[in-house]
Amino acid sequence: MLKRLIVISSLLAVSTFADANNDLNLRSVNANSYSFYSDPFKLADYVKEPQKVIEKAITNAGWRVKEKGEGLIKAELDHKGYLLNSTIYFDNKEISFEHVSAQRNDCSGSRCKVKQRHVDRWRLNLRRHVATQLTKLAKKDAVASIN
Amino acid sequence: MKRLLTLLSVAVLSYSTLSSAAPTPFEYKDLRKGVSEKKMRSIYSLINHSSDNLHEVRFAILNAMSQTKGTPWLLEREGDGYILARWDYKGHAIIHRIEYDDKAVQIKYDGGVNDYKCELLVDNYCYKTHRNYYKYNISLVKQLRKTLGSI
Repeated sequence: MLKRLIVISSLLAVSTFADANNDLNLRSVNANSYSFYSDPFKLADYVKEPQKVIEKAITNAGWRVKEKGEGLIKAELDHKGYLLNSTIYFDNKEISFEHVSAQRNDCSGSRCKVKQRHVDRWRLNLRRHVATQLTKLAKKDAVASIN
Repeated sequence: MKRLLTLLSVAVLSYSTLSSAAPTPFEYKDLRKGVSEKKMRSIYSLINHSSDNLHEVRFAILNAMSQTKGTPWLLEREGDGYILARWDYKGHAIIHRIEYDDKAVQIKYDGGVNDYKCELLVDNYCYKTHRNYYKYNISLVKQLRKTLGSI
């Protein structure tokens, strides 16, 4: 017990003084890692109806709701000869994405190659529309908190 | 044993104080590979405000994010005293942690995607990434100054 306490104390103390010293040789902070369009959203308490948020985002992004289930919505984008399928999972704490498939539906043979940059853009667009809805809710909550 | 416990609690307290989310005056480090002090200060300097209502400050930040020139910054997450904001543009993204308290607001680097990954990150300030990073943040800082100045 005593040994453990000594080790913890010394580790914390060293780390504290390293921070306080601001000496660049001591430590460089690593940034958090983010993906292009698959990071989940951690929800604040004011997001009472995540399902509505997702449905609105799907519609505004030009996607359509294909199927609804307990804690998930399957969304589809049929656009410019591409067919994209994604599943969005939700509960009161989080909204997360699973991008299921992307294929061409208007072609045959070698022309059917999926251009990843288009797929990336449309998936990011869906995620950004969810973020837009969450930003709106945050603003509403901020106004309500002021009043 | 008592001394040890005291040392432990002091260490824990100091550590939590230093790693907490709050605006802190930006001190430029003269690094060999880092960008100029002017560029760094234009993003990371404290933006002072005169409101004692943190809800007003939070609202002002959210408004500023939406009112930037071109693509708006969108909410990624919120926490006590900070807003995580993300800006996507042409396949690249910047994620900032906008911290606030009863005196000031400050931008800190939280992450980047593709071109905007930081190559030299010190104390949550990015000293080296794609040159456009320092240009594209000007609009956000300008809007923050504007919305915070009007409360």
